[in-house]
Amino acid sequence: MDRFSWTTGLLELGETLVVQQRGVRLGDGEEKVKFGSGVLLLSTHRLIWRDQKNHECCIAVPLSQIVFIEEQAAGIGKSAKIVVHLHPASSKKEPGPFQSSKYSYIKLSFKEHGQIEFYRRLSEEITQRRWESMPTGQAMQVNKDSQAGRIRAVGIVGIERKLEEKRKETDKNISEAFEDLSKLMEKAKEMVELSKSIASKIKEKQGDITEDETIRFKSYLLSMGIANPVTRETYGSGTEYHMQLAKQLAGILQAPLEERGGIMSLTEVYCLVNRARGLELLSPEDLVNACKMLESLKLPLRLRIFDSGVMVIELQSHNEEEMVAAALETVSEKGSLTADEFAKLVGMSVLLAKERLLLAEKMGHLCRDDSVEGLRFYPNLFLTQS
Amino acid sequence: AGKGFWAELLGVGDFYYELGVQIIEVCLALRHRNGGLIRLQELQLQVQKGRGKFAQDVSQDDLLRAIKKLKVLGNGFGIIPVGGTFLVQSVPAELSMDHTVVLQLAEKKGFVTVSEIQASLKWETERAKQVLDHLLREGLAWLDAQAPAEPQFWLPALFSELRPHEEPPATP
Repeated sequence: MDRFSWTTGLLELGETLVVQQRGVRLGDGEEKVKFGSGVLLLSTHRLIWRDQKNHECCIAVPLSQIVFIEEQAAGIGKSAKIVVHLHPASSKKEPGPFQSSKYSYIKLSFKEHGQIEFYRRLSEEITQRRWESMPTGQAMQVNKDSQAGRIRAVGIVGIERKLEEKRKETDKNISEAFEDLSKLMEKAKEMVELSKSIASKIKEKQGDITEDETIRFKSYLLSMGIANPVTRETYGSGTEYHMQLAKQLAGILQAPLEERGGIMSLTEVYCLVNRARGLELLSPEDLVNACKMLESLKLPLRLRIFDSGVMVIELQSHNEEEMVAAALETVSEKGSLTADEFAKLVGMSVLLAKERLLLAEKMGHLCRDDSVEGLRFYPNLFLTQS
Repeated sequence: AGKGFWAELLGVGDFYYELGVQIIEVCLALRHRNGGLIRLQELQLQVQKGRGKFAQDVSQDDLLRAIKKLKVLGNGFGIIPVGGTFLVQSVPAELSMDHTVVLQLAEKKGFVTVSEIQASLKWETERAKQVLDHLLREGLAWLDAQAPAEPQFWLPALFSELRPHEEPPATP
C-alpha cells in the first residue's frame, strides 16, 4: 500500500474515467487496512480510491506501477477480489498514507460485486497503456499556443517555412513513436527479469507452491514466450490451452491419419490444421506442445520422434514395427529399393518412407548400400541365411 | 496463454504462421529438383507467386523469421549462409561445416570441382571427394562426368543465379 499517493481525485487534463465501482475495500497484501469502504475508479492513467463517507479521503496509484493482475474468486463469506501486483514505489512518488509496506501487492475486495467488469476494463487499460500516449497536466496547452503563434508568415517564404515545420513535426512524431517502442522494450525486459526471478524462487520452494498456482504461473510465462523452467511429468510443458488444443487435434486428425496409413509428419499436420483454420492460426510451438500431451491425455493419437529428429503423429492403433514387416516383404519382392522407389510403390511421402526403411534397418531386417547413386535397401541376408 | 502475449500485442502471429505453411508447400513442391536446398531469393519468388497478386509483400527477413519458427517441428528446416545470402534447407540431411563451406564455394558459378576445392580450401583429395559424395547422395548435387577438364558437381539450389554462358548438365 506504500505505492499510493494522496490525491484530490479530480481527473487531470487528458485523463479519462473508464469505470467505477462502489463498495470496494483495499487490502495491503494479506492484511486489512483502514480503507474499508470506498468507490474505486479506473481512469486511463490511475487507479483511484475514495472513501464513501469521507470524500476528502482519496488516494491513487498510477497504472504504470502495475506489473500484473489476478482474479480471486469469491468464497463462503468472502467477496471476489482482484490482486494487483505492483512495482516498487518510485523515489519521486507523492506522499501517501503508508511510508512502507512488506507486500508488493494489494487486494481489491468487491463487497458489492462488479469485479468481473472492473477486471476486464483494468486488463484492457494495462494492455493498451493509454497513459503513455496521453501526457497529462498543463504543459500541453502551453505548447499548442506557442506553435500556433509561430506559423504565421505569408508568401513563398511562409509556405516554405510551413513545410519545414511539418517536416520537423513528422520527424518528432517518428522519434516519439520509437520512444514508445523503446519504452515497451524496457518494460518487456523488466517483466522478463521479474518472471525469471519468480520462476527460480518457485524452483527453490517447490514443496510450498500448490499445483494450481504453478499451472497458473506457467501459463503466464508461456503467454510471454518464456520457455517453461518448471517441468512436471504429468503435464509436460503444457497448459490448459495446450490440453484443449490436444483434444481438438485428436478430433481433426483422426480421418486424415486413417487416409494416410495412420502416420503423418508434423509439418504435414501443421499445414493441414492451419489451412483448415484459416484464421487464428497455430504457431509451430503451440502445435508441438499440444502434441506432446497427446499420450498423457490418453487420446487416440501420439507424437513419435525418430532418431533422425523427424517428428510424426501416429494413430495409437498404428504400429510402425508391424509396418516394417510389410516393408520387408515389399523390398524382398523387388530385390532392393531406395526410399524414393518405396515411397512411390506404397503411396507414402518420401520422408516417412525413408524413416520406415531406416527403422527396418535398425531392427536388422534390411541392409543398406550407400553409394553416390543413392541409398538403397536390401533384405538382410546375413540374418536370414546364416 | 494461447496465441501468446506478444503475438496479440503486436498482431503478427497469423502472418508468420501462414507464411510457414506456404514455405513448407513450396519446399515440398521443389524438393525433387533441388534435393531440399533452395536459395532464399528463389523461395521468396515462389512464395510470392503462390500468394497471388493482391497479397501483402513478403520480405526475406519475414521468410527467415518464419523458417526459424518452423525448426521446432523437427523436420529439418535450417538456414545456411552463403556468399551474402542464404540457402534454406528443408530436409533432415546432415550438413556439417565442411558441406557448408563447399556450398559457399560453389555459390559463384553454381558448380564446383575437386581441384577448385583443393586450390581454395587446401583440402586433400579424399576429404573433398567425401564431401561431394555426400552432397550427391543427399540429392543436393548433380554430377557432370562429361565436363571438359574434370567432373563438375552442380548444385540445383544455386541455378537461378547462373550467367547466360554457363549451363547445367542435361541430366541429373
